[in-house]
Amino acid sequence: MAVKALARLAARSSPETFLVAGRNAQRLAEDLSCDRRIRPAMTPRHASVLLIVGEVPGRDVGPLRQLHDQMAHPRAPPECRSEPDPAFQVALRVPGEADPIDRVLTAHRDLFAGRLASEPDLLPDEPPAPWRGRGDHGQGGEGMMGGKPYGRPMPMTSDDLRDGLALDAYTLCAGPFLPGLPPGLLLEVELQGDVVQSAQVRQAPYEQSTVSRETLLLACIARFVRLLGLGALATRLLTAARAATSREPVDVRSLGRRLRWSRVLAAIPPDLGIVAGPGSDQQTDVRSRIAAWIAELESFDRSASAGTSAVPRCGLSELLTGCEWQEALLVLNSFAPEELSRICRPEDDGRAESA
Amino acid sequence: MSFFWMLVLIAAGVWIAAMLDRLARAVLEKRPIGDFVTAPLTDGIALFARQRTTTEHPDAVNWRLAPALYLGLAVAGISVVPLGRDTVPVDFEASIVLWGACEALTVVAVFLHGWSANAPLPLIGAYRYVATGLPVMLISMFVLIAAALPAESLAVTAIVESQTSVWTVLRQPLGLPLFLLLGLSLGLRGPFDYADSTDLAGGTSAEISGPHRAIWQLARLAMLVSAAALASAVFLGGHLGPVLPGPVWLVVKTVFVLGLLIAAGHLLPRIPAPRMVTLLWVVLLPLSFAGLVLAGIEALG
Repeated sequence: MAVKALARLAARSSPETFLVAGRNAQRLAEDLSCDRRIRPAMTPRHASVLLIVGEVPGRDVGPLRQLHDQMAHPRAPPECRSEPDPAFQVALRVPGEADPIDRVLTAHRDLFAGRLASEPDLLPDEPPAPWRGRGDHGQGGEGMMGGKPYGRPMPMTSDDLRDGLALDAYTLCAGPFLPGLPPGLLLEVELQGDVVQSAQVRQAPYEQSTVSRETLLLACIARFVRLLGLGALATRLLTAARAATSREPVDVRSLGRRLRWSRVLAAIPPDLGIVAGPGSDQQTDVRSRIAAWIAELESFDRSASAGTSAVPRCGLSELLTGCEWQEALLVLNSFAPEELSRICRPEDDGRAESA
Repeated sequence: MSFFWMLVLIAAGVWIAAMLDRLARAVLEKRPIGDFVTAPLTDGIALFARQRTTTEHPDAVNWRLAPALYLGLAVAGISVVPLGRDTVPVDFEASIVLWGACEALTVVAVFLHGWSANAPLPLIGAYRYVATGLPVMLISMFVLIAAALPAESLAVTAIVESQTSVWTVLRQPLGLPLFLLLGLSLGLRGPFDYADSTDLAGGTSAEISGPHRAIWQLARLAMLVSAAALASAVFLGGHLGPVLPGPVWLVVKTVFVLGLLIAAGHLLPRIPAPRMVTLLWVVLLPLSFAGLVLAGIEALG
């Protein structure tokens, strides 16, 4: 009886939803995240519903299934405007005109009410490396050496960039659906602690649909301020972006005042993410790029053409090396999607795949 | 009996903090407020209906113990706050030192929580918390010692009684703002949420779910309430006040400080950790030490 009461109570809660944006769908995903009937989840572990918006290329279906399997039971994946993965048992193809959030709410309630079975795992629960018969973890060597326990090499020491102190460096693959990174971007990052030692692009971000300059500015600033912990302000900016897309009036001056009042610019370290500006002797850093966005937003004139932007001449690895994790994400999100695509050229090592 | 009322204070404080958080978000996002009273309870209890997930080869014992330790430290910390003139769960001559011990062990609890998951993003959250948490603890100890000097005692009850004529916040204006930084750090909120931040997809809580997550969230809020209660006792006179009974004054002041903490959590940006560490060691720590020196000169005068 207590279990049933708990399930009834859980069904009344608002569903935590992990949103995955595919090609040309980042804006739609962000609009859906502003719907107050759901709570966007930072990680699939916290979500009861996985909402896939837009088309996810075939190469990323594997990571998508990994995301799915990381979700805690009970779970169900409605999909929006894309072909459902045949492996999803209860895949719901939402017609274009239907409200996907309604389907999310229904799936959430049905899950906890017992009317919908929880999705089983899609991937086999096996260690990533084959059993080789020797060592504590069957990795083929003694102790933690001689092979890759769980398919991961042991972190070995290397000199830290900052002071040459030899620390444990480890390699992490971030993306393609990590919140804070552009959808589709897959980075291989070597870290010591939280400082990036090197970063290679394995997959470029997905192309995104063209939007008006006002919408683009609002969305880009929203993504940036969310990384500074200003979630409420980010949601307000995304709501304004949705209004701008629908050609409704947006009080950009009020938003600009709010941005300045929150001291966003002061929170950004100076000289972070320096790239060459439009002029040959001009350089911009993260702070000046965000300041330019805010200034452009406050003086926004719909008839004006898009402003000139920074032309990054260096690759992503050079930009991110030496940055702390949060700083690295701030650098990435200080560029508009089109500019970022120019920097994020996959490393030509034979492993990069085309979309 | 005082332990019972202490637990009631924590439980009510957690609920009020969750409500204030929802209210603040709705107001700042400029959207309809909706159900901010029962929704936090429903959403929190719903976590117990979900599976407790795990990672590959975590440090299972410490991973389970960390939320319990964190919650225990919150309860231990608030136990030194006098609820009324003769009502304090734990009263001894150096009760402020007990609070200091709880602060220091919070760093251990949060670090263990990130370490034990055996995953990169929680580990980064753990490292960042240690780097920023240690200087914040030092700042809070200077501030608390400065507040204890007029009372000539390290007992929180004596510190409250020393504010009969004037509150500490008026005597030492810098003390409360600096102590609030500690509150934000202990509760992993806003500009000091380096452990469970959005840029780390949840940080130390990125790999947890179900009852584990429920206890961790509860512990965070409980620690916030604990810090708010101590701040109201040490800086705002605690249970002292006219007309209303002492415990009511304590609750009013605690809710006020909770409101300040939650507002700060939503309004202030989170500076990247290296810059924050520099700010803490180079600016705020010397400032808190200067406040201690001034309090000492005033006490000697």
